[in-house]
Amino acid sequence: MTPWHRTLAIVVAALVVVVGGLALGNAVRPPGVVRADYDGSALVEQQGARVVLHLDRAVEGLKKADITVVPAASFSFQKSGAAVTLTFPDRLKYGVDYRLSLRLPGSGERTTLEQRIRTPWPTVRTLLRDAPDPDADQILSRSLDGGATTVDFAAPRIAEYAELPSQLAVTTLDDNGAATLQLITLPERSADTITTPEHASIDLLRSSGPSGLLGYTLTTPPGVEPALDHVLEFYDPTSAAGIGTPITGLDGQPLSVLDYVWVPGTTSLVAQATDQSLLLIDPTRGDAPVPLGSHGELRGFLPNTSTLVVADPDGGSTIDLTTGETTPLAVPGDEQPAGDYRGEVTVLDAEGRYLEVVSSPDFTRGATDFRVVLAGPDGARELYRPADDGTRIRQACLSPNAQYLAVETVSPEGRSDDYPQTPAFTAISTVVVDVSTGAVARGLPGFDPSWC
Amino acid sequence: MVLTREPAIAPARRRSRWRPVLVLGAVLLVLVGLRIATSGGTVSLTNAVQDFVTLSLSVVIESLPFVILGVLISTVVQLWVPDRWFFAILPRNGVLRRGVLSLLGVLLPVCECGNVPLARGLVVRGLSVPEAMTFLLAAPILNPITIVTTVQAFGWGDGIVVWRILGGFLIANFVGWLLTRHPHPDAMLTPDFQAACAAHAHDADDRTHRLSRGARMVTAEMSAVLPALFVGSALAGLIQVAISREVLVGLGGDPVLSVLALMALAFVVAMCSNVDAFFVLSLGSTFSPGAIVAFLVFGPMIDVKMLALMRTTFTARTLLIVTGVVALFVAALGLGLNLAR
Repeated sequence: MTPWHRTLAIVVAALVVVVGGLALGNAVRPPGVVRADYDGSALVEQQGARVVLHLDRAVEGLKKADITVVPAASFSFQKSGAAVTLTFPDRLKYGVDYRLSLRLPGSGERTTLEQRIRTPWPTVRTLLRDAPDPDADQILSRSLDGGATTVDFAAPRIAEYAELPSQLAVTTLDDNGAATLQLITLPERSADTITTPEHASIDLLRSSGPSGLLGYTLTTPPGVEPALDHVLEFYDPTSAAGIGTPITGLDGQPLSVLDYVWVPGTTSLVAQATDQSLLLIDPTRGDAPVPLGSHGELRGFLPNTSTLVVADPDGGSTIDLTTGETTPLAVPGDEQPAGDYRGEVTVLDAEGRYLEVVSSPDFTRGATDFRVVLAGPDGARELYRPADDGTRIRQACLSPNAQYLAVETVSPEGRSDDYPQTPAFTAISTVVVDVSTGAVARGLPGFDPSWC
Repeated sequence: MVLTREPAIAPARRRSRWRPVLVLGAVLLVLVGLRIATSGGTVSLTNAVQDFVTLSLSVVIESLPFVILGVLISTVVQLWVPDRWFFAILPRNGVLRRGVLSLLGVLLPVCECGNVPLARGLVVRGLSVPEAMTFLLAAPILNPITIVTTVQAFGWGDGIVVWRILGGFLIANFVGWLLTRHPHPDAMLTPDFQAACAAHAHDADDRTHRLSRGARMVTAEMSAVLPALFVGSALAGLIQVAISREVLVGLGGDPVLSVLALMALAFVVAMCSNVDAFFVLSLGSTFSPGAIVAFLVFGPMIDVKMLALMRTTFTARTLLIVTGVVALFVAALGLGLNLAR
């Protein structure tokens, strides 16, 4: 054997031994998590968000009972090769470290894999009309875990705004009260105008959320053509058409509405026509609207469901949009004094837990005390009461995952801002309350929190 | 100094330069025949034949620009780059010299198939076989385009980029060192190529009519390399049709088989190193990082198309040794990374 052949043989033999040893080491080593893929924002904002755990080898015989999530959250799981996918039907909580544990069947003993994921804190936007600059209203954003407040957009006389995935839709009013609808792309703050009829007022500006559509109603003054009376339109920002599309009713004509609400996570909406009939419509498709009966008021959706809550003079009910089934909503009493006034109700779940704004007039002081009550099968308790006497609660809105409640409060010195559309008050602010504890998580200047 | 070679260690066999073209023509004839046989008079092919044609053509289309570029650069290097420029920058110490050559891809960021004609030109100019092999194995990985696309695909986070660069450098230099132990390195060249080297040494002092000589060299290189590219591409297409990609991908869950599967896939798909990171990115959710690194290191060095191209220059025995050593080294790298996680 020549030196060349000897060297070659030694090199090849050494490499074969190394490869064999490493292969053996890999074969006997317990499985491990290579990485976890997830979108933290989707986990707290969308139903059905997923976490994919990539293991370094396929695992046989894994059952749901082998998987735990702490803090507890409902989930389903799928396994494909070395990937284990956990799907969360409900939105997870904000700012929480979740520990995912997988007990893997091994040879005689069981191995537990752990992966931690952290969900982000939400950013809440508010509209500030008594801003430091008296000539410019501001849309502010602030993370719930603290940090500085950011001015996302400023313009004279902002009437409404709605959040789109990477844009803000904003209606502003000129001196004559005429409205302009703009899309503000963030963070550049470049603006594109959506064409609307001259002199038309724009109301009920609402976003479909992650599905990225915008809805609003148009109304023209008497005698102005075209004659529009709360005609519902939608706009798809990805189309760049620059003009909205009227939503049509059962008769194929543009639909005038009293109210409407987007179905969470979809491009569909439920509109309440002027005759109080409800229609389920997907404006992106040409399908005919689906009638859902007539009801007095839309109360939004049960959190993490596609179940619509409606109210009538004789009580509330829920409509499951997946089946069309209507069920009377039996809510327990709120145990509040008989002389108090019941205000806005937000239903939390199908078991009848709900939040209610209650006001107690005190005629001796000539003032009214407001509070938020959490009621349910286990009884009722006060969740939040403003610190100052005489502070009013204007409205309260749940975060998408029902973890927090944004409460608009108006101080006693607050006065109407006299806006012709969506009028509000001076000295108005928003507090964010933890629904489970009642603790105030954050105070924000302004009103109309993005969860409303 | 010009490193001239001995005329020929082994007598050069005069093989017809038309032979690869004839092979290609035969392949095309078979394809046309299959097309006619399966079309029934209309223009349609069975899925397998369509896949074969598409896959083969995609490799050719992907590689051809780089091969032409490599031939042109090779010609320029042979005719117009003075020795004092080229060899002055190379250290005399063998290890350092191969180290510098393995980084030459930074200056010449072409795909691995474009490096073959360039390496042939460098050997003609006097580079030794181990040095040329070091360059051939390292340059497809250690070049800016490959590094940038790998970073774009995987980022720096999980070490895939670092291990691709490091693995490419170490393996190329190791193979280069190993080949220096050969008692007659020139015997690792094919007889035809040895003859070409000898002819160049004879003409080295002729500095007249460089343009016409350049044109002849381009023509000669093209006729040597292009048939090999076509045959290699056809083989790549054929193997991909014959071996289900799903079968290889199905092995992704196993820490040992996943490495071997992606090495096999890299060998079969014969993808340019400049774009292979985006291809394997789609497998990132199925395969371990060790397997991904094995794909990204092995593919640019050894694949079916590269072997066909390198066969124009190196003997089959040499390619067998290089392929074996590279495969074992890459497998060790991939398995080691899997074990370390």
